Amino acid sequence: MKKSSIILFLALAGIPCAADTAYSPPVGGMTFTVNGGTVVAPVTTWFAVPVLDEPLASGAGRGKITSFTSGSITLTGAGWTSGALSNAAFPYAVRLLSGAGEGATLSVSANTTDTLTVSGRDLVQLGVVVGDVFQLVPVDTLNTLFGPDTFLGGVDANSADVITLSSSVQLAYYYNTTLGHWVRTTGPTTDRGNTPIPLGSVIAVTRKSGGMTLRIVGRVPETKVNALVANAGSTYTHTGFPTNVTIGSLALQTAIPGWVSASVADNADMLAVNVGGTWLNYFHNGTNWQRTTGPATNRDSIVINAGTAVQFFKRGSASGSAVFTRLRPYSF
Amino acid sequence: MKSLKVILFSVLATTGFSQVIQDFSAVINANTFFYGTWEAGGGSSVNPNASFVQGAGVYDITGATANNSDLSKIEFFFSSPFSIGSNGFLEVAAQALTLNAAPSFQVVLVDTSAVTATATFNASSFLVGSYSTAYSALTMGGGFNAASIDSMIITGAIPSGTARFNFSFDKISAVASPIPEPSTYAAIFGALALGLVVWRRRSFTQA
Repeated sequence: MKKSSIILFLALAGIPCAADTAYSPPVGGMTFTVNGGTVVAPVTTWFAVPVLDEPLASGAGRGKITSFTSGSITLTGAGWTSGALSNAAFPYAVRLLSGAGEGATLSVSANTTDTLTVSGRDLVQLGVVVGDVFQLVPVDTLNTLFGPDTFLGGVDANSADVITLSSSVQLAYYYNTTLGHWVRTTGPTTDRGNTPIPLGSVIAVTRKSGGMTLRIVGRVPETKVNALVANAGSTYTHTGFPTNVTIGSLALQTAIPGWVSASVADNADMLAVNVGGTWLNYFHNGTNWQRTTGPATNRDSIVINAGTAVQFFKRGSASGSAVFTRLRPYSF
Repeated sequence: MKSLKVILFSVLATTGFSQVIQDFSAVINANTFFYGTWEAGGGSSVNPNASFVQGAGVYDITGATANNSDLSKIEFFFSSPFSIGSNGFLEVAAQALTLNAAPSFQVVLVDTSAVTATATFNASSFLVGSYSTAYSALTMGGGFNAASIDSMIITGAIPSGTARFNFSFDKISAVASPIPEPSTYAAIFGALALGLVVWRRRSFTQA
């Protein structure tokens, strides 16, 4: 459960860390204001959580890779409980902290006492070598982050708050008070409470009750951003860190290989920034960023606040993904 | 007549100053853009969905393909940034068209730093078949600059929303506070008229 208190701050709290690191990653909290709405006039608030949980499972929380394959990591003497890191109710991810793959995140699909089976990225292709450092990161689910009572539940999607999770796709859920579990807004009423909320994804709350404040505490990322962006279509994510950044400094035209700049918006890839529940679209015209519509004003100085939901929209039909990289904007 | 002047002043103070932001008399122009299912197709466009209709001082957003997704919207850029002063409410004159299924919509003001102020309107606040007026308070983002507004957006605002958005817009204004409905005006002026009669009778009696 990430739920806790505190407004956005970065307090240098002592976090136990391996001897491999000579710093204490700061722990902080973020406050998100969820605007109030009603059943007939719901209001949607979008946000993303760029801070990470601390591992709770027994065994090593981080360490140097002893050996690896394209889809597994071994840490001799890790002391994990078999299957504990791949429990659907409390899933985990691996984030690489050093080496060529720094910042890459992989899902843990199985584990033994010293080996993790991982997916989502190929460790060989990432250029991982023995001795690279990784950490385990708990991945929240609808149950662990929100539980049954954070939001307004209901007998159907029309009467309940709807939570839309967006990464490469958008899927919507609500807490069904009759069934006593989370369900999709469409389709079978299967229990979806263990649906993971992937690191880097975006959350939209379509609120049908009074305004509220969500306070989420976590550890700031220690590495650069190294995330996949679909080569075609939308990828919903955030800017990677709990700090504000201008559109010019984000510099997607260089941060994502293959990003298309163009003199007219219809030919360019697009950055959409969610503000006040709506999306404002920008493109890089070869010199600076401007809105896809309206005057050709230079928008490089527009600030994207920490925790803001963004969309990277790449035109075309190429399959696969590109890698969004961004250096950590702070030091320890 | 002193008391009458005081009452009239208080009525005007309550209603505040109404500032028209969009009168919908000529929506299609180089500064108006349509997005998602509200556009003609192929990126952000100055061309609306073919079923949208420019009327005499009104604009109809209609059609089976129009929906209330957050990605479908219309945005009006202003030739130069303008101010709404201290007005904290939006007033929308519109009507829900017969086929409308969207429960609500939002009007968003965007300042030159891309900070927004949003007002949410309940579709049922508007009459079906004739124009009526509804009000909603602006929820302002941190640092919103009400003196430097760059554009205004109308959107259904629901993630993946598919309800049919069918509305006819007449006018959108910024106001200091909700203006009383005509029935409220009738009550106010009825009371004033009654007060005037009583005052005149007393004057006649004293004379």
